[in-house]
This record gives sequence, C-alpha cells and structure tokens, in this order.
Amino acid sequence: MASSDQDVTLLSSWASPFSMRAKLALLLKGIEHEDLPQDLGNKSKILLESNPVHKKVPVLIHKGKPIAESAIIVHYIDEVWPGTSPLLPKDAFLRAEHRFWTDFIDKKLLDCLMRFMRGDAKNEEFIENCELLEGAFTKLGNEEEGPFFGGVRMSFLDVMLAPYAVWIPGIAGVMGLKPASQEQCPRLHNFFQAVLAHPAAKLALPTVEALKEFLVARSAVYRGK
Amino acid sequence: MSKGSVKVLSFWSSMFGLRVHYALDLKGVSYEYQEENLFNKSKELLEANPIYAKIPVLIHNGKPICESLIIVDYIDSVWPNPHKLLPEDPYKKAVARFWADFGDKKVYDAGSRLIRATTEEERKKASEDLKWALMKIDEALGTIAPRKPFFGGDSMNFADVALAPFICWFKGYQKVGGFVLPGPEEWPNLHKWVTAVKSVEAIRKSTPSEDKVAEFAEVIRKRAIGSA
Repeated sequence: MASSDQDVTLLSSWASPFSMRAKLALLLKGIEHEDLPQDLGNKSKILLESNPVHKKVPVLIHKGKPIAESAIIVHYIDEVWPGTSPLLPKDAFLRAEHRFWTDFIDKKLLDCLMRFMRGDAKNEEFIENCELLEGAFTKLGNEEEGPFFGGVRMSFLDVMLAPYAVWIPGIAGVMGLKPASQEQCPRLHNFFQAVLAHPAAKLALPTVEALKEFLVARSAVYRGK
Repeated sequence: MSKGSVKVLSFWSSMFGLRVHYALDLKGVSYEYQEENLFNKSKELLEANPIYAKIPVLIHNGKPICESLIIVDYIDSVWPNPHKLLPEDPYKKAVARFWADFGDKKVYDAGSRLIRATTEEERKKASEDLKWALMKIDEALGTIAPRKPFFGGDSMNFADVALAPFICWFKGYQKVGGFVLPGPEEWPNLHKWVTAVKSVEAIRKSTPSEDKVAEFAEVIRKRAIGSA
C-alpha cells in the first residue's frame, strides 16, 4: 500500500479523463499526494484490492481507505478539504445542476466521442452536445465574472469538463473530429482555452500531442477491432 | 414541514421514480404527484426536462431537478431532517454514493438487458451479470453494515433508497427473463435487507404490486421483441 508518511494516494492513468479529474481536484486544493500510475493492461495488486468491484482508475486512497468513481472522488476531496478552492456550489439547486451536467458529460458527450471513434456517431451529434453544453454556460456561468462555471476560479463542473480541453483536440487531430467553432460555441471555446492556460490543469492534463500519440497507438482498440 | 411547492412527475413502475417517492416519503414531505403517459408526455415534462424528456422530475418551487440520484441528493439537502439519507462522514458518504451508482451501472443495466433480450445468448449474459451485481450487493451489506439490516445500519440511507426499487422488479425479472434469485442460504444479507426494506411503512406507500410490475415487464419484452 501507500508509503507510511503519505495520507493520500491516487491510482491514476495519465490519459484517462476520469483520472485527470481526480488529479486536477487534488492540485487545485494543493493536497500533497502520491501519484501511482497504473498499467491497465496488467492490473496491480493495489488496484485490484482497492477497487475490486470495477477494477478501474482513478482510485483515491485516503488514510488507507479507497474511494472510486471520479465524481464521487471529487465530491469527497471537496468535503474533506473544504477550505481551499471550494468546488461544489453552496446552493442545493446549483449543486444539482453541476451534477446533472456532469452526468450529461459522461452519458452524452463522452459516449458520443467513443462512438465517433468507432465510426458509430456523426460529427453533427457531437456538435449538438457541445451546443447543449454552451447552453449550460449561459444558464450557470456568469460571463462577466470569468470563463469558468465558477467564474474566475474552477468549480466542480469545470473540473469534470476540463479533460475534454485535451481530449477533443486529440480526437480532432487523429480521427478527423471537427470541434465546435468559436462562433458556434463561444463560451465553451473560451472555457477550453482557459483550462489549457490554467496552472493546475497544465499539470493534471497531458499535452494534446501526447494524447494524439496515445490515440494513434490505441486506435484499433477504440475502433472496436 | 412546508418548504414551498413540491411536485413529482413520474411513472408508476419506474425504479428511478420510486427512489424519489421513497426519499420524500421517508422524510414526510408532502408533494403533488403527476403520472406521466410515456407515449404522450406532458408539456410540463418536456419543458422541465428538455434534454432527456424523462421521468422522474422533481419540481420544487417551480424549478426542475432531473435524474433520480441527483433528485434524492437534492431532497436530502433541502429536507435534511427527519431521516438524513447521506451520512455526515465524508468516507461513509462516498461509500453510499458508490453503491447507489453501482445500482445504475450494474443492476439496472443488467436487468434492463434481461427484459429486452431477443436471443438466448443475450438473456443468459444479462442474467449472469444481474446475478453478479446482486451478489456484490449481498457482499457489500455484509462488509459495510455487518449484522445490520440496511446499508445505513438501523435505518435506510442513500444507498438503500437507490437500490430498494429493484425489489419490486425481481418477480418481473423472473417471469420475463427466467432470473431466479438465489435463496437466503446463499445470500443471507440481501434477503435480510429485502425483508427489512419491505417492512418500512414509507416504502410500502408507493411501491407498486410485484405482479403488476411483472405484467408490465412482459409488455416491455413484447415491445422489444416486436421491434427486433
């Protein structure tokens, strides 16, 4: 298990958008942690023991106790370390909105991207999902305050969406996805630019180039062959 | 305790809808219920949930909240007492959220595939997956709350509310998918949990009859085969 003087360990995988969320939350809050990258093709004992049900990353291990599922991990991080960089809104209705759009990102956006990579979804469907996210910005984010849902600072929903700032250009570069233009989705475009410039996100997210190489190498897997 | 107007848009047999009923009823919150015709969705539903047009939707003081677990979380924040559903301890809260999420990802998914299976191969795989998922729940109950009836210990918590609606569908899974729930000798924790859930008055209030649900499962199946 984690070395004795480390309270917090993250079982990670650098290319996973779910893993990036957990990493980003830890960095935003300045939480010292041990990062243990995992080989998903040859799963380690610590991964299988700490997430026996799903056997997936990310897993956060805090004082020996494992927490799995990226949204649950980020909720946990926010609850245990509330002082720095609070992520979930205080208002119950806004919290519900953040959770709704997180679920949308997983169920609709990511699902669409995965199907696109397999040749099972059209670019138009992806653009429609981006337009819906643009609508979320209009509803939840104050443009005058800043590019994020949280205004000038990242909030829970920003952390959940941030990985797509590299995943979308990655898939565009390798598989011909046409991202939504600045004209089509200005707030979304500004959000992704702001993520790429954000100091914590620069550490939590891989470069687009690295992701492109990864996608090329794994393209057969994604095409479902 | 009145905290504004509360309205639930749902469908009588929906497991997701039942979660919302259970949460409100355990807390004694009064609400208006509107049964939706899923083939002729109300204007109110389409406006409240424009992205998915699905039930359940909770409308609180005119504002809609969608997705059952998000609704239950919201209910627990607005009406924390009586009967707080999410534990105060962050780790225990994370564990409760995990098993609620497991219900969606593994139990509901397998059950849905079981009912809609058009080949024997599909049916068999779905049945095995459902069995595995319920076995995990039996194990989890033994680990998280040993010698206690619920995930929440002596009373139902967020995970219990998320998973309880499956109970009234077991008969349907059996009738339509041939899924037979292993007995209490094999899964003592799950059976103890089922008995305990069924004994809660607030749960009995909205739970539909298992026979009616089984009939409805048959209807879903016929439709699935018909369109295959």
